[in-house]
Amino acid sequence: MFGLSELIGSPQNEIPLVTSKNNRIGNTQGAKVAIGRVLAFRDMCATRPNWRIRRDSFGLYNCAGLVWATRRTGISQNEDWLKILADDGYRQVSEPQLDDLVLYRNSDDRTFLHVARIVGFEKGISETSPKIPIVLSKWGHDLGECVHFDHDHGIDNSYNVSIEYWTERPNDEQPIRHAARIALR
Amino acid sequence: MMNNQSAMQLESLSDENFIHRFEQISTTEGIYHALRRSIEVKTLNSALREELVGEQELDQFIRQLLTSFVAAEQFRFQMTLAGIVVACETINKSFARQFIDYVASIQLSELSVASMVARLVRRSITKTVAKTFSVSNLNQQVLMVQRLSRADVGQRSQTFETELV
Repeated sequence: MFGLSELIGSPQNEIPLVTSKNNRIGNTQGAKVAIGRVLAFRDMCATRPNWRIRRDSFGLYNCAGLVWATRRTGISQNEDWLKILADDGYRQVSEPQLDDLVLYRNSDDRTFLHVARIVGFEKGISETSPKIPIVLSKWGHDLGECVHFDHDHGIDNSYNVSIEYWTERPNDEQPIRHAARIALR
Repeated sequence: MMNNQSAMQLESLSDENFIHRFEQISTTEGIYHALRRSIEVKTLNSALREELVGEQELDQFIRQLLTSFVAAEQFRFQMTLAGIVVACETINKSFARQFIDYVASIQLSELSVASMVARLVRRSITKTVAKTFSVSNLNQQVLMVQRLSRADVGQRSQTFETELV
């Protein structure tokens, strides 16, 4: 029935991956992508003049795999993302810094859609405007990596996307900065 | 042979526009919720309910999709399979359940996204069944209390009934 049981392919592979509290993180390494997906990604990027391609379509990992598993595998379960954020000491912030994370969520049901890492900032329109984060993203399970402004994302307009900034930096930043200044004297 | 209407409903899920709409999402839950809200999946769900699309049409369509399956390469129509799985979620027919089970049991890296969505759908069905079961139990309990009350067994059963209401 459906011809699905007759398929011969590569078995799914999971690598050992745990949080800092030793809780298991489910993951799956994806198969390689067809040339058609490479072209589809390039077409997608061509419609976005401010995107810069870092890497063509690649199937092994997704965005969460880029951020939390150094491009070795894909992490696709919402609960695993929550586990990482909780166990690894992440907290939401309003003013992100370099290397913090941008989490894209569906405002309607709060599910995670995408995660990207902040790799730079662009000045705002005026002196007082907030700086605009520039992020490194890996799109989906079979697209590529690119650098873009955090709000210039590739998620379809039909989603009610909310953007959150998260960091694992300690909460008491000021004393640490102060300590660093003292150490530098 | 598939009639034009059922062919259109199924083929809308293999359209590039449909596939592109979900390909940027990285979580299984995000894909599942997005598919559930999509007009194509809702339309297919209605067609399955009204039996405009049945087992034979589904089988024929999926066999056709699988002709483009290439070993060691991500399957191009994973979102199509995932969309059909989501459309089948509320269809109480054995072929729909079988299809969900088939896709959920696949352990191939070429189809990992579709099978993860199918596993989520299977968990969602199990949860719904469990919820229905507990509600039916509650109804039985209420009926039992009403019977006890009618039999006029005293003040205690009436108090219990009030508490349950």
